[in-house]
Amino acid sequence: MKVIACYKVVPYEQSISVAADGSLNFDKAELIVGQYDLNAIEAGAQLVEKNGGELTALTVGTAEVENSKLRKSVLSRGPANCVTVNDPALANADCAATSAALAEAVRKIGAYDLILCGEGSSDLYAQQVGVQLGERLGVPSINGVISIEVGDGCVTVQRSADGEVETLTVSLPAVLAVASGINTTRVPSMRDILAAGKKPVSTWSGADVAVPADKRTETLSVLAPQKTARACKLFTGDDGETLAAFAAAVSAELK
Amino acid sequence: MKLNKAVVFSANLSNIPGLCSGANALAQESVAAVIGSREQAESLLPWANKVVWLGEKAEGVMVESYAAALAELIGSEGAELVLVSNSTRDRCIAAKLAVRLNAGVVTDTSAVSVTEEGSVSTKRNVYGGAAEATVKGNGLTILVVPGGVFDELQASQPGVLAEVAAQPEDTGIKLVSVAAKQEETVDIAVAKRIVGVGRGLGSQDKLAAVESFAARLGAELGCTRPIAEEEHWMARSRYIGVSGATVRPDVYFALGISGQVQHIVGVSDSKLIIAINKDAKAPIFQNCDIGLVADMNKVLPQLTELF
Repeated sequence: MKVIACYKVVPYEQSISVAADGSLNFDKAELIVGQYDLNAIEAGAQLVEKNGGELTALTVGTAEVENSKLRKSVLSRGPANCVTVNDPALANADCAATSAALAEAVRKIGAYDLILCGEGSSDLYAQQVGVQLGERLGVPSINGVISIEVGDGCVTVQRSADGEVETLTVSLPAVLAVASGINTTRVPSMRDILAAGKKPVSTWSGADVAVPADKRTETLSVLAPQKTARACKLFTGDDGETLAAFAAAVSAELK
Repeated sequence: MKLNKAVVFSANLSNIPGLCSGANALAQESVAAVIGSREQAESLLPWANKVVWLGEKAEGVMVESYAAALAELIGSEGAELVLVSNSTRDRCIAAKLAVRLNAGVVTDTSAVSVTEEGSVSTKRNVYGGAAEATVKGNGLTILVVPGGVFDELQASQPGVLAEVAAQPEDTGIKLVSVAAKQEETVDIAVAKRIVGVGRGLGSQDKLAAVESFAARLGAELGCTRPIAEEEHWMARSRYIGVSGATVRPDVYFALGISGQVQHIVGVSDSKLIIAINKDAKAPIFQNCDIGLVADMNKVLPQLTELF
Protein backbone atom coordinates (compact mmCIF):
# COMPACT_ATOMS: atom_id res chain seq x y z
CA MET A 1 0.00 0.00 0.00
CA LYS A 2 1.01 3.57 -0.64
CA VAL A 3 1.09 5.62 2.56
CA ILE A 4 1.86 9.33 3.00
CA ALA A 5 2.83 10.68 6.44
CA CYS A 6 2.62 14.45 6.90
CA TYR A 7 4.85 16.36 9.27
CA LYS A 8 5.71 19.93 10.19
CA VAL A 9 9.09 21.49 10.94
CA VAL A 10 8.68 23.72 14.00
CA PRO A 11 10.89 25.70 16.38
CA TYR A 12 11.66 23.84 19.58
CA GLU A 13 9.64 25.83 22.12
CA GLN A 14 12.27 25.61 24.86
CA SER A 15 14.80 27.36 22.62
CA ILE A 16 12.58 30.36 21.78
CA SER A 17 13.75 33.42 23.70
CA VAL A 18 11.52 36.25 24.91
CA ALA A 19 12.54 39.89 24.46
CA ALA A 20 11.84 42.55 27.08
CA ASP A 21 8.72 43.70 25.21
CA GLY A 22 7.30 40.18 25.29
CA SER A 23 7.98 39.47 21.62
CA LEU A 24 9.52 36.15 20.67
CA ASN A 25 12.96 35.74 19.21
CA PHE A 26 13.45 32.70 16.98
CA ASP A 27 17.05 33.51 15.92
CA LYS A 28 18.55 30.87 18.18
CA ALA A 29 15.57 28.54 18.12
CA GLU A 30 16.46 25.01 17.15
CA LEU A 31 14.22 23.38 14.53
CA ILE A 32 12.59 20.03 15.22
CA VAL A 33 10.05 17.72 13.61
CA GLY A 34 6.72 18.15 15.46
CA GLN A 35 6.56 15.55 18.24
CA TYR A 36 3.01 14.40 17.35
CA ASP A 37 4.01 14.08 13.68
CA LEU A 38 6.62 11.50 14.68
CA ASN A 39 3.70 9.25 15.73
CA ALA A 40 2.20 9.59 12.23
CA ILE A 41 5.54 8.70 10.59
CA GLU A 42 5.95 5.74 12.96
CA ALA A 43 2.41 4.50 12.25
CA GLY A 44 3.11 4.72 8.52
CA ALA A 45 6.44 2.91 8.86
CA GLN A 46 4.82 0.09 10.84
CA LEU A 47 2.01 -0.27 8.28
CA VAL A 48 4.34 -0.69 5.29
CA GLU A 49 6.72 -2.93 7.24
CA LYS A 50 3.78 -5.23 8.05
CA ASN A 51 1.71 -4.99 4.86
CA GLY A 52 4.27 -4.07 2.23
CA GLY A 53 4.20 -0.91 0.15
CA GLU A 54 5.89 2.42 0.40
CA LEU A 55 5.83 5.33 2.82
CA THR A 56 6.34 8.91 1.61
CA ALA A 57 6.99 11.74 4.05
CA LEU A 58 5.45 15.10 3.14
CA THR A 59 5.82 18.56 4.60
CA VAL A 60 4.84 22.08 3.53
CA GLY A 61 6.20 25.36 4.85
CA THR A 62 8.92 27.91 4.19
CA ALA A 63 12.72 27.48 3.97
CA GLU A 64 12.85 25.47 7.22
CA VAL A 65 11.37 22.43 5.41
CA GLU A 66 14.64 22.01 3.49
CA ASN A 67 16.73 21.65 6.64
CA SER A 68 18.78 18.61 5.60
CA LYS A 69 19.39 17.31 9.11
CA LEU A 70 15.66 17.12 9.84
CA ARG A 71 14.87 15.63 6.45
CA LYS A 72 17.44 12.94 7.15
CA SER A 73 15.96 12.38 10.60
CA VAL A 74 12.51 11.85 9.03
CA LEU A 75 13.92 9.51 6.36
CA SER A 76 15.74 7.46 9.01
CA ARG A 77 12.35 6.60 10.54
CA GLY A 78 10.98 4.47 7.70
CA PRO A 79 9.86 6.63 4.74
CA ALA A 80 11.29 5.61 1.33
CA ASN A 81 11.28 9.19 0.12
CA CYS A 82 10.43 12.70 1.15
CA VAL A 83 8.58 15.58 -0.49
CA THR A 84 9.00 19.13 0.76
CA VAL A 85 7.04 22.15 -0.45
CA ASN A 86 8.82 25.42 0.29
CA ASP A 87 7.00 28.65 -0.47
CA PRO A 88 7.16 32.05 1.26
CA ALA A 89 3.36 32.28 1.00
CA LEU A 90 3.18 29.52 3.61
CA ALA A 91 4.78 31.69 6.31
CA ASN A 92 2.46 31.74 9.33
CA ALA A 93 -0.01 29.52 7.47
CA ASP A 94 -3.17 28.68 9.42
CA CYS A 95 -4.69 25.20 9.39
CA ALA A 96 -6.82 26.00 6.33
CA ALA A 97 -3.80 27.15 4.29
CA THR A 98 -1.64 24.24 5.49
CA SER A 99 -4.27 21.63 4.68
CA ALA A 100 -4.93 23.24 1.28
CA ALA A 101 -1.21 23.19 0.39
CA LEU A 102 -0.93 19.57 1.58
CA ALA A 103 -3.94 18.64 -0.57
CA GLU A 104 -2.31 20.17 -3.65
CA ALA A 105 0.96 18.36 -2.91
CA VAL A 106 -0.88 15.05 -2.47
CA ARG A 107 -2.60 15.56 -5.86
CA LYS A 108 0.81 16.05 -7.45
CA ILE A 109 2.24 12.96 -5.71
CA GLY A 110 -0.59 10.96 -7.31
CA ALA A 111 -2.25 7.75 -6.18
CA TYR A 112 -2.25 6.85 -2.49
CA ASP A 113 -4.12 4.55 -0.13
CA LEU A 114 -3.70 6.25 3.20
CA ILE A 115 -2.53 9.61 4.52
CA LEU A 116 -1.49 9.92 8.16
CA CYS A 117 -1.23 13.11 10.20
CA GLY A 118 -0.37 13.68 13.85
CA GLU A 119 -3.02 14.90 16.28
CA GLY A 120 -1.73 18.46 16.03
CA SER A 121 1.40 20.44 15.24
CA SER A 122 3.83 21.08 18.09
CA ASP A 123 3.80 24.84 17.50
CA LEU A 124 0.13 25.77 16.91
CA TYR A 125 -1.60 22.53 17.96
CA ALA A 126 -4.86 23.44 16.24
CA GLN A 127 -5.69 19.72 15.73
CA GLN A 128 -7.46 20.50 12.45
CA VAL A 129 -5.14 19.74 9.53
CA GLY A 130 -5.76 15.98 9.21
CA VAL A 131 -9.55 16.12 8.91
CA GLN A 132 -9.45 19.33 6.83
CA LEU A 133 -7.01 17.61 4.43
CA GLY A 134 -9.40 14.67 4.02
CA GLU A 135 -12.31 17.01 3.35
CA ARG A 136 -10.32 18.90 0.71
CA LEU A 137 -9.35 15.67 -1.01
CA GLY A 138 -12.95 14.41 -0.79
CA VAL A 139 -11.96 11.20 1.00
CA PRO A 140 -13.02 9.79 4.39
CA SER A 141 -11.14 11.35 7.31
CA ILE A 142 -11.26 10.96 11.07
CA ASN A 143 -9.25 12.04 14.13
CA GLY A 144 -8.29 10.40 17.41
CA VAL A 145 -7.09 7.14 15.82
CA ILE A 146 -5.33 4.79 18.27
CA SER A 147 -4.85 1.66 16.12
CA ILE A 148 -4.93 0.74 12.42
CA GLU A 149 -5.42 -2.70 10.81
CA VAL A 150 -5.32 -3.02 7.04
CA GLY A 151 -8.24 -4.87 5.40
CA ASP A 152 -9.46 -5.33 1.82
CA GLY A 153 -9.91 -1.83 0.39
CA CYS A 154 -10.37 -0.45 3.88
CA VAL A 155 -8.71 -0.05 7.24
CA THR A 156 -10.24 -0.98 10.57
CA VAL A 157 -9.32 1.59 13.15
CA GLN A 158 -9.95 2.19 16.80
CA ARG A 159 -10.71 5.75 17.71
CA SER A 160 -10.67 7.30 21.13
CA ALA A 161 -13.24 10.08 21.41
CA ASP A 162 -14.98 11.70 24.35
CA GLY A 163 -14.74 8.78 26.74
CA GLU A 164 -15.53 6.10 24.16
CA VAL A 165 -13.48 3.80 21.98
CA GLU A 166 -15.06 3.28 18.57
CA THR A 167 -14.20 0.59 16.08
CA LEU A 168 -14.60 1.95 12.54
CA THR A 169 -14.05 0.63 9.06
CA VAL A 170 -12.77 3.37 6.83
CA SER A 171 -12.81 2.85 3.07
CA LEU A 172 -9.59 3.73 1.24
CA PRO A 173 -8.18 6.10 0.23
CA ALA A 174 -8.54 7.99 3.51
CA VAL A 175 -6.87 10.42 5.88
CA LEU A 176 -6.34 9.50 9.53
CA ALA A 177 -5.14 11.81 12.30
CA VAL A 178 -3.48 9.56 14.87
CA ALA A 179 -3.47 10.20 18.62
CA SER A 180 -0.06 10.34 20.28
CA GLY A 181 -0.81 7.15 22.20
CA ILE A 182 -0.94 5.06 18.99
CA ASN A 183 2.71 4.04 19.23
CA THR A 184 6.11 4.69 20.71
CA THR A 185 8.36 6.27 18.15
CA ARG A 186 11.56 4.47 17.16
CA VAL A 187 15.10 5.53 17.79
CA PRO A 188 16.76 5.23 14.36
CA SER A 189 19.90 3.08 14.21
CA MET A 190 23.18 4.32 12.74
CA ARG A 191 22.39 2.16 9.68
CA ASP A 192 19.00 3.87 9.26
CA ILE A 193 20.63 7.28 9.53
CA LEU A 194 23.30 6.43 6.94
CA ALA A 195 20.70 4.95 4.57
CA ALA A 196 18.51 8.05 4.99
CA GLY A 197 21.10 10.21 3.26
CA LYS A 198 20.71 8.16 0.06
CA LYS A 199 16.91 8.28 -0.13
CA PRO A 200 15.28 10.43 -2.83
CA VAL A 201 14.00 13.87 -1.94
CA SER A 202 11.68 16.09 -4.03
CA THR A 203 11.87 19.80 -3.31
CA TRP A 204 8.85 21.64 -4.65
CA SER A 205 7.76 25.25 -4.44
CA GLY A 206 4.66 27.32 -5.12
CA ALA A 207 5.54 26.96 -8.82
CA ASP A 208 4.89 23.21 -8.58
CA VAL A 209 2.05 23.24 -6.08
CA ALA A 210 -0.63 25.94 -5.86
CA VAL A 211 -0.40 27.60 -2.46
CA PRO A 212 -3.52 29.37 -1.15
CA ALA A 213 -3.27 33.15 -0.99
CA ASP A 214 -6.17 34.12 1.27
CA LYS A 215 -6.14 33.52 4.98
CA ARG A 216 -9.30 32.61 6.83
CA THR A 217 -7.70 33.57 10.12
CA GLU A 218 -5.06 36.17 10.79
CA THR A 219 -2.58 36.10 13.65
CA LEU A 220 -2.30 39.67 14.94
CA SER A 221 0.31 39.10 17.61
CA VAL A 222 2.30 36.36 19.28
CA LEU A 223 3.64 37.42 22.64
CA ALA A 224 4.94 35.76 25.77
CA PRO A 225 1.92 35.29 28.03
CA GLN A 226 1.34 38.15 30.42
CA LYS A 227 2.17 36.75 33.78
CA THR A 228 -0.58 37.24 36.31
CA ALA A 229 0.90 39.15 39.25
CA ARG A 230 0.99 36.74 42.18
CA ALA A 231 1.68 37.58 45.81
CA CYS A 232 4.18 34.71 46.25
CA LYS A 233 3.74 34.72 50.01
CA LEU A 234 5.95 31.87 51.21
CA PHE A 235 5.95 29.76 54.35
CA THR A 236 8.82 27.35 55.02
CA GLY A 237 8.76 24.32 57.26
CA ASP A 238 6.58 21.40 58.30
CA ASP A 239 6.16 22.17 61.99
CA GLY A 240 2.68 22.64 63.45
CA GLU A 241 3.03 26.37 63.83
CA THR A 242 4.06 26.96 60.19
CA LEU A 243 1.29 24.70 58.92
CA ALA A 244 -1.30 26.50 61.03
CA ALA A 245 -0.11 29.88 59.73
CA PHE A 246 -0.13 28.60 56.14
CA ALA A 247 -3.61 27.09 56.54
CA ALA A 248 -4.90 30.32 58.09
CA ALA A 249 -3.50 32.39 55.21
CA VAL A 250 -5.11 30.03 52.66
CA SER A 251 -8.44 29.93 54.52
CA ALA A 252 -8.56 33.73 54.61
CA GLU A 253 -8.27 33.80 50.80
CA LEU A 254 -10.83 31.05 50.28
CA LYS A 255 -13.56 33.02 52.06
CA MET B 1 -20.20 45.42 19.15
CA LYS B 2 -22.07 42.18 18.63
CA LEU B 3 -22.29 39.85 15.65
CA ASN B 4 -25.72 39.13 14.17
CA LYS B 5 -25.98 35.44 14.75
CA ALA B 6 -24.03 32.54 16.28
CA VAL B 7 -24.79 28.85 15.89
CA VAL B 8 -23.81 26.48 18.70
CA PHE B 9 -23.27 22.73 18.37
CA SER B 10 -21.82 19.95 20.47
CA ALA B 11 -21.94 16.18 20.17
CA ASN B 12 -22.25 16.27 23.96
CA LEU B 13 -25.40 18.22 24.86
CA SER B 14 -24.11 19.13 28.32
CA ASN B 15 -21.69 21.56 26.63
CA ILE B 16 -24.50 23.52 24.99
CA PRO B 17 -25.54 25.83 27.90
CA GLY B 18 -21.95 27.10 28.27
CA LEU B 19 -21.50 27.57 24.53
CA CYS B 20 -24.88 29.33 24.24
CA SER B 21 -23.85 31.71 27.02
CA GLY B 22 -20.86 32.64 24.87
CA ALA B 23 -23.08 32.98 21.81
CA ASN B 24 -25.45 35.29 23.70
CA ALA B 25 -22.53 37.46 24.80
CA LEU B 26 -21.01 37.67 21.32
CA ALA B 27 -24.05 37.79 19.03
CA GLN B 28 -27.55 39.33 18.90
CA GLU B 29 -29.07 35.94 18.30
CA SER B 30 -28.05 32.46 19.43
CA VAL B 31 -29.12 29.28 17.68
CA ALA B 32 -28.42 25.88 19.25
CA ALA B 33 -28.37 22.93 16.83
CA VAL B 34 -29.33 19.78 18.73
CA ILE B 35 -29.08 16.14 17.74
CA GLY B 36 -30.92 14.12 20.37
CA SER B 37 -34.43 13.57 21.70
CA ARG B 38 -37.15 16.22 21.48
CA GLU B 39 -37.09 16.47 25.31
CA GLN B 40 -33.37 17.17 25.23
CA ALA B 41 -33.84 19.85 22.59
CA GLU B 42 -36.65 21.45 24.62
CA SER B 43 -34.56 21.40 27.81
CA LEU B 44 -32.05 23.70 26.10
CA LEU B 45 -34.64 26.39 25.24
CA PRO B 46 -33.77 28.60 28.25
CA TRP B 47 -30.23 28.99 26.94
CA ALA B 48 -30.71 30.00 23.30
CA ASN B 49 -32.94 32.31 21.26
CA LYS B 50 -33.71 29.37 19.01
CA VAL B 51 -33.14 25.64 19.31
CA VAL B 52 -33.09 23.78 16.02
CA TRP B 53 -33.91 20.16 16.70
CA LEU B 54 -32.22 18.08 14.01
CA GLY B 55 -33.80 14.84 15.23
CA GLU B 56 -32.33 11.80 16.94
CA LYS B 57 -29.05 10.35 15.78
CA ALA B 58 -29.72 7.37 13.51
CA GLU B 59 -28.74 3.96 14.86
CA GLY B 60 -25.16 2.91 14.07
CA VAL B 61 -24.21 6.32 12.68
CA MET B 62 -21.50 8.66 13.97
CA VAL B 63 -22.56 12.17 14.89
CA GLU B 64 -19.77 13.36 12.57
CA SER B 65 -21.92 12.15 9.66
CA TYR B 66 -24.24 15.11 10.29
CA ALA B 67 -21.57 17.66 9.28
CA ALA B 68 -23.31 18.26 5.94
CA ALA B 69 -26.66 18.91 7.66
CA LEU B 70 -24.97 21.27 10.10
CA ALA B 71 -23.17 23.11 7.31
CA GLU B 72 -26.51 23.59 5.56
CA LEU B 73 -28.14 24.90 8.74
CA ILE B 74 -25.29 27.34 9.43
CA GLY B 75 -25.52 28.58 5.85
CA SER B 76 -29.28 28.99 5.89
CA GLU B 77 -29.17 30.79 9.26
CA GLY B 78 -26.59 33.18 7.84
CA ALA B 79 -24.50 32.83 11.01
CA GLU B 80 -21.24 34.72 11.39
CA LEU B 81 -19.92 32.59 14.22
CA VAL B 82 -20.03 28.90 15.10
CA LEU B 83 -19.14 27.65 18.58
CA VAL B 84 -18.32 24.02 19.36
CA SER B 85 -16.69 22.40 22.37
CA ASN B 86 -13.11 21.24 22.64
CA SER B 87 -13.79 17.51 22.29
CA THR B 88 -12.40 15.06 19.74
CA ARG B 89 -15.78 14.76 17.99
CA ASP B 90 -16.47 18.49 17.96
CA ARG B 91 -12.96 19.23 16.64
CA CYS B 92 -13.57 16.73 13.84
CA ILE B 93 -16.90 18.37 12.99
CA ALA B 94 -15.28 21.84 13.12
CA ALA B 95 -12.71 20.73 10.52
CA LYS B 96 -15.44 19.34 8.24
CA LEU B 97 -17.53 22.51 8.58
CA ALA B 98 -14.50 24.74 7.96
CA VAL B 99 -13.79 23.22 4.56
CA ARG B 100 -17.46 23.03 3.49
CA LEU B 101 -18.22 26.60 4.56
CA ASN B 102 -14.78 28.04 3.67
CA ALA B 103 -14.56 29.27 7.24
CA GLY B 104 -11.61 29.87 9.54
CA VAL B 105 -11.19 27.77 12.67
CA VAL B 106 -9.55 28.78 15.91
CA THR B 107 -9.22 25.98 18.46
CA ASP B 108 -8.59 25.98 22.18
CA THR B 109 -9.50 29.62 22.62
CA SER B 110 -8.96 31.09 26.08
CA ALA B 111 -10.75 34.38 25.40
CA VAL B 112 -13.16 35.55 22.70
CA SER B 113 -14.42 39.03 21.85
CA VAL B 114 -15.87 40.96 18.93
CA THR B 115 -13.88 43.94 17.65
CA GLU B 116 -15.26 47.38 16.73
CA GLU B 117 -15.11 46.30 13.08
CA GLY B 118 -17.23 43.28 13.84
CA SER B 119 -14.67 40.53 13.51
CA VAL B 120 -14.03 37.76 15.99
CA SER B 121 -10.88 38.17 18.07
CA THR B 122 -9.52 35.29 20.13
CA LYS B 123 -6.57 34.36 22.28
CA ARG B 124 -4.91 30.95 22.36
CA ASN B 125 -1.67 29.42 23.51
CA VAL B 126 0.99 28.52 20.99
CA TYR B 127 4.55 27.09 21.11
CA GLY B 128 3.75 24.74 23.96
CA GLY B 129 2.55 27.58 26.16
CA ALA B 130 5.63 29.73 25.59
CA ALA B 131 3.45 32.36 23.89
CA GLU B 132 -0.09 33.58 23.50
CA ALA B 133 -1.40 34.43 20.06
CA THR B 134 -4.17 36.89 19.23
CA VAL B 135 -6.01 35.49 16.23
CA LYS B 136 -8.71 37.27 14.25
CA GLY B 137 -11.27 35.60 12.02
CA ASN B 138 -11.90 36.82 8.48
CA GLY B 139 -15.57 36.23 7.74
CA LEU B 140 -17.39 33.17 9.08
CA THR B 141 -15.37 31.83 12.00
CA ILE B 142 -15.65 28.53 13.86
CA LEU B 143 -14.35 28.49 17.41
CA VAL B 144 -13.47 25.38 19.38
CA VAL B 145 -13.94 26.55 22.96
CA PRO B 146 -12.95 24.61 26.09
CA GLY B 147 -15.44 24.41 28.97
CA GLY B 148 -15.26 27.20 31.54
CA VAL B 149 -14.31 29.99 29.10
CA PHE B 150 -17.85 31.41 29.11
CA ASP B 151 -19.83 31.99 32.30
CA GLU B 152 -23.08 30.04 32.11
CA LEU B 153 -25.97 32.50 31.89
CA GLN B 154 -29.44 31.79 30.59
CA ALA B 155 -30.71 33.78 27.63
CA SER B 156 -32.87 36.76 28.59
CA GLN B 157 -35.80 35.31 26.59
CA PRO B 158 -36.48 31.56 26.44
CA GLY B 159 -35.99 30.38 22.87
CA VAL B 160 -38.32 28.92 20.27
CA LEU B 161 -38.08 25.38 18.96
CA ALA B 162 -37.67 24.69 15.25
CA GLU B 163 -37.53 21.27 13.64
CA VAL B 164 -35.32 20.20 10.76
CA ALA B 165 -35.21 16.53 9.79
CA ALA B 166 -31.47 16.14 9.27
CA GLN B 167 -30.08 13.18 7.38
CA PRO B 168 -26.63 11.68 7.94
CA GLU B 169 -24.39 11.53 4.88
CA ASP B 170 -22.31 8.58 3.69
CA THR B 171 -18.81 9.47 4.88
CA GLY B 172 -17.11 6.22 3.82
CA ILE B 173 -16.67 5.42 7.51
CA LYS B 174 -18.73 2.66 9.10
CA LEU B 175 -19.28 2.51 12.83
CA VAL B 176 -18.74 -1.12 13.81
CA SER B 177 -18.95 -0.85 17.59
CA VAL B 178 -18.59 1.56 20.49
CA ALA B 179 -17.19 0.67 23.89
CA ALA B 180 -16.96 2.87 26.95
CA LYS B 181 -13.35 3.71 27.66
CA GLN B 182 -11.95 1.85 30.63
CA GLU B 183 -10.44 5.07 31.86
CA GLU B 184 -12.64 7.61 33.65
CA THR B 185 -13.37 10.89 31.89
CA VAL B 186 -13.79 14.08 33.86
CA ASP B 187 -14.36 17.59 32.53
CA ILE B 188 -11.93 19.18 34.92
CA ALA B 189 -12.18 22.52 33.09
CA VAL B 190 -15.44 23.38 34.85
CA ALA B 191 -14.24 22.67 38.44
CA LYS B 192 -14.19 25.62 40.86
CA ARG B 193 -11.53 24.08 43.10
CA ILE B 194 -8.75 21.82 41.85
CA VAL B 195 -5.95 19.98 43.61
CA GLY B 196 -3.20 19.18 41.11
CA VAL B 197 -0.36 16.75 41.77
CA GLY B 198 3.02 16.37 40.11
CA ARG B 199 6.02 14.11 40.39
CA GLY B 200 6.63 15.29 43.96
CA LEU B 201 3.93 12.78 44.92
CA GLY B 202 6.62 10.09 44.59
CA SER B 203 4.44 7.00 44.33
CA GLN B 204 0.86 6.06 43.52
CA ASP B 205 0.05 4.75 47.00
CA LYS B 206 0.37 8.31 48.32
CA LEU B 207 -2.64 9.43 46.24
CA ALA B 208 -5.06 8.42 49.01
CA ALA B 209 -3.87 11.31 51.21
CA VAL B 210 -4.28 13.72 48.29
CA GLU B 211 -7.81 12.40 47.68
CA SER B 212 -8.75 13.03 51.34
CA PHE B 213 -7.30 16.53 51.14
CA ALA B 214 -9.24 17.27 47.92
CA ALA B 215 -12.45 15.80 49.37
CA ARG B 216 -12.09 18.01 52.43
CA LEU B 217 -11.83 21.08 50.19
CA GLY B 218 -14.55 19.93 47.81
CA ALA B 219 -11.97 19.99 45.02
CA GLU B 220 -11.54 17.99 41.82
CA LEU B 221 -8.23 16.16 41.28
CA GLY B 222 -5.87 17.12 38.47
CA CYS B 223 -2.28 16.32 37.55
CA THR B 224 0.72 17.14 35.38
CA ARG B 225 1.52 15.34 32.14
CA PRO B 226 4.02 12.83 33.61
CA ILE B 227 1.48 11.63 36.19
CA ALA B 228 -1.12 10.87 33.50
CA GLU B 229 0.96 9.93 30.48
CA GLU B 230 4.15 8.42 31.89
CA GLU B 231 3.22 7.00 35.29
CA HIS B 232 -0.49 6.46 34.43
CA TRP B 233 -1.45 7.15 38.06
CA MET B 234 -4.39 9.30 36.98
CA ALA B 235 -6.72 9.36 33.97
CA ARG B 236 -5.60 11.44 31.01
CA SER B 237 -8.72 13.59 31.35
CA ARG B 238 -7.23 14.92 34.60
CA TYR B 239 -4.05 16.12 32.92
CA ILE B 240 -3.70 19.92 33.00
CA GLY B 241 -1.31 21.66 30.62
CA VAL B 242 -0.54 22.47 27.03
CA SER B 243 -1.88 19.33 25.33
CA GLY B 244 -4.29 18.61 28.19
CA ALA B 245 -6.95 20.65 29.95
CA THR B 246 -6.84 24.38 30.55
CA VAL B 247 -8.52 25.26 33.84
CA ARG B 248 -9.60 28.49 35.48
CA PRO B 249 -10.81 27.55 38.97
CA ASP B 250 -11.28 29.89 41.94
CA VAL B 251 -8.39 28.10 43.61
CA TYR B 252 -5.70 25.75 42.33
CA PHE B 253 -3.54 23.75 44.74
CA ALA B 254 -0.26 22.69 43.10
CA LEU B 255 1.13 19.80 45.14
CA GLY B 256 4.61 18.50 44.34
CA ILE B 257 4.50 20.40 41.05
CA SER B 258 7.72 22.10 39.97
CA GLY B 259 5.91 24.58 37.71
CA GLN B 260 7.19 24.02 34.16
CA VAL B 261 5.70 26.46 31.65
CA GLN B 262 3.80 23.62 29.92
CA HIS B 263 1.81 23.06 33.12
CA ILE B 264 1.57 26.67 34.31
CA VAL B 265 -0.04 27.71 31.05
CA GLY B 266 -2.94 25.39 31.87
CA VAL B 267 -3.59 26.95 35.28
CA SER B 268 -2.50 30.58 34.86
CA ASP B 269 -6.09 31.86 34.74
CA SER B 270 -6.80 30.44 38.21
CA LYS B 271 -7.94 33.16 40.61
CA LEU B 272 -5.71 31.86 43.39
CA ILE B 273 -2.74 29.48 43.19
CA ILE B 274 -1.48 27.72 46.30
CA ALA B 275 1.73 25.68 46.02
CA ILE B 276 3.37 23.06 48.19
CA ASN B 277 6.78 21.80 47.13
CA LYS B 278 9.85 20.70 49.04
CA ASP B 279 12.19 22.49 46.61
CA ALA B 280 12.29 26.19 47.53
CA LYS B 281 13.81 26.92 44.10
CA ALA B 282 10.91 25.34 42.14
CA PRO B 283 9.51 27.83 39.59
CA ILE B 284 6.00 27.27 40.97
CA PHE B 285 6.89 29.56 43.88
CA GLN B 286 7.22 32.47 41.43
CA ASN B 287 3.75 31.67 40.11
CA CYS B 288 1.74 31.25 43.30
CA ASP B 289 -0.14 33.48 45.70
CA ILE B 290 0.67 31.44 48.77
CA GLY B 291 3.40 28.81 48.96
CA LEU B 292 4.60 26.27 51.47
CA VAL B 293 8.13 24.90 51.22
CA ALA B 294 7.67 21.41 52.65
CA ASP B 295 7.31 17.76 51.63
CA MET B 296 3.70 17.45 50.46
CA ASN B 297 3.39 13.87 51.65
CA LYS B 298 4.55 14.80 55.12
CA VAL B 299 2.24 17.80 55.59
CA LEU B 300 -0.95 16.75 53.79
CA PRO B 301 -2.55 14.69 56.59
CA GLN B 302 -2.11 17.57 59.04
CA LEU B 303 -3.29 20.19 56.54
CA THR B 304 -6.40 18.13 55.80
CA GLU B 305 -7.30 18.50 59.49
CA LEU B 306 -6.64 22.25 59.41
CA PHE B 307 -9.12 23.06 56.62
